[in-house]
Amino acid sequence: MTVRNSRLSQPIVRSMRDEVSLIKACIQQNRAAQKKLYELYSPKMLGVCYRYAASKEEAEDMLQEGFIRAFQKLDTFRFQGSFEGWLRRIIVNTAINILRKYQNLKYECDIESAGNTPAASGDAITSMYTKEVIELIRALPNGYRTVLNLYAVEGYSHREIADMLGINESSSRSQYTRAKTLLTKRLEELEAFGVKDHAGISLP
Amino acid sequence: MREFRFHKSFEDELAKKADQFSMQPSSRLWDGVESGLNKGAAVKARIKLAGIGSGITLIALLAILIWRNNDHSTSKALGDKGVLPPTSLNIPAELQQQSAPAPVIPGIEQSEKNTSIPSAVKTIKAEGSIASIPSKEQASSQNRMESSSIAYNRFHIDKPELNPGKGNKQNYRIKSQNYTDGWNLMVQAGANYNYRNLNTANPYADEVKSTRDRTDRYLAGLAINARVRYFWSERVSFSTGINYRQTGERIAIQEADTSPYYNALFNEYHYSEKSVYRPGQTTTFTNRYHQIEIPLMIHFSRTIHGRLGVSSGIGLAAVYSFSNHYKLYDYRVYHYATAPIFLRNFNLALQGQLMAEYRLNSRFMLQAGIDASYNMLSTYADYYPINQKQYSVGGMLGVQWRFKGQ
Repeated sequence: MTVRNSRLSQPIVRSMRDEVSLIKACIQQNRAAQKKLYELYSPKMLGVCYRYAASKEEAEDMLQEGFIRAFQKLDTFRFQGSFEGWLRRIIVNTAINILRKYQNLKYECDIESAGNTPAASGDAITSMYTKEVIELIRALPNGYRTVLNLYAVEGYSHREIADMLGINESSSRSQYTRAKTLLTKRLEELEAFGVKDHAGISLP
Repeated sequence: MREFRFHKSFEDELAKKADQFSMQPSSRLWDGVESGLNKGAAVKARIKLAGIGSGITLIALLAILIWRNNDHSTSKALGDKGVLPPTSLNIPAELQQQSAPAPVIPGIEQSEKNTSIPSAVKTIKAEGSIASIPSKEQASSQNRMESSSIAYNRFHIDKPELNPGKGNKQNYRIKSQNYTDGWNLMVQAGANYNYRNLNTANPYADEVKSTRDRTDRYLAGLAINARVRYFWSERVSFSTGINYRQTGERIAIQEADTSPYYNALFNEYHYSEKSVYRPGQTTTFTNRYHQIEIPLMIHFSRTIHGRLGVSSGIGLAAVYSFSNHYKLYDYRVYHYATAPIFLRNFNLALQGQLMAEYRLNSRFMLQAGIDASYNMLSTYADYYPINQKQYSVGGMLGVQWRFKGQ
């Protein structure tokens, strides 16, 4: 995986030593440690799943399955690099597997029309509430949403996305362009209504 | 500020917003994770135990087969070729000059035409004793003894079967009363009743379980077995081969079943675009699973009276679901769909048989009885919130044929 967004892997656990000992206890099937690890990372990982899922229930299913897999494979974690990044990859892969299995990911996209995309900047996104941006991503069609999440947020290359989803690389590119166009258009519409992220104001 | 942000890339800003986002999961989600972990550990332990059990059984079976083959081949080597080559025997000249035809003794090969050694001598060789060479009288005495032994066997045993050509009286293979020595081919077919046990892996699925427990119905299917059966002794035998079995169940969603989660679960996992529940209608799924099984069973047989016996068997089977079909009855229209991917392809089944066996002759046997199978793993993959274990009980008719040359 090409880690383009290195800031995504900021540690949640303050002390690295604490995290290592917690993970080692989890490897030894210590339920209390596993619960502690789950409590530490589940809110953030549910946020990840929520971007891929159609509903919160589906996101929770993804999270549950992802954590089960993560705990089962924890002995393969080599303590090199961020644990959050490792966990996130498992959660994302689980979400993709569930999407591939249960949903008909639709990748219908006209490549010619996708080519006529206006250059989008991050300005509109910066001025939005986080929750609004997430909901806009989730409002995209399944296929678009998945490719957008994998490319723009997780930092996978189009080649890797094509392998993960079983589609062509060109299809991944066109999906992404299309998703970006749709998202930009909706952001602009929202911006026109004055929905902006004001400093010092946070959503409940 | 606006100008400063103007150059930020779309991807970076999107990733930043996404990274800031988190949600609190519902309190009972950990229960699901914990039950999944417990279940995974239990399944691993069961598979490990089953693997160890199967391995030990297989190794024991192979060891027995090899041991028995070695035993037979030793006897055969003794009978066919003798302990020592003829040239190494110190045979008296008067015996070497004898040209009278050798007495016919069952079990002695008469094919060695070029030797001048009398057959009686060969009999001695076959029995491994070269200390003394018997006279003609001694040889005929031996013949009489063996003939009387056969007569005794004919008198006391239903139908003795002699195996000439083995060269040793221990190789007079007198078949047991069950006529079941060695390898047999067993073909069985029957109809079965199929249903399932349901358990929920997390609290979300409880509603589905309660509804299904109320409305699900059994499904009839069939099973065909083709196996080889090896009799280790008159009473103990092992069988393996290939089985085909249809299992499944019928799921009915009725008007009263208004659970939104029930609908959501079915919509999600059965690729249905629309809600499967419609007021005033009953929607029925017929879930039929087609299984290929490779069993390894141990059977215990006992003669009840004359030709009639009974045999009970128990064992494990590796199960592969090669094709699963869902038949959906909705608005009086049948739809066939292939199985969703969440179904488990490989399973492990505990199997048992109780058969009455009737011997027609020394090779054929008719069988009739009960056959049962219980899948030890869920029909669905681990992440599916419902744990469903199929079972099947049915009547079975069969025929068993003992291979020739035994």
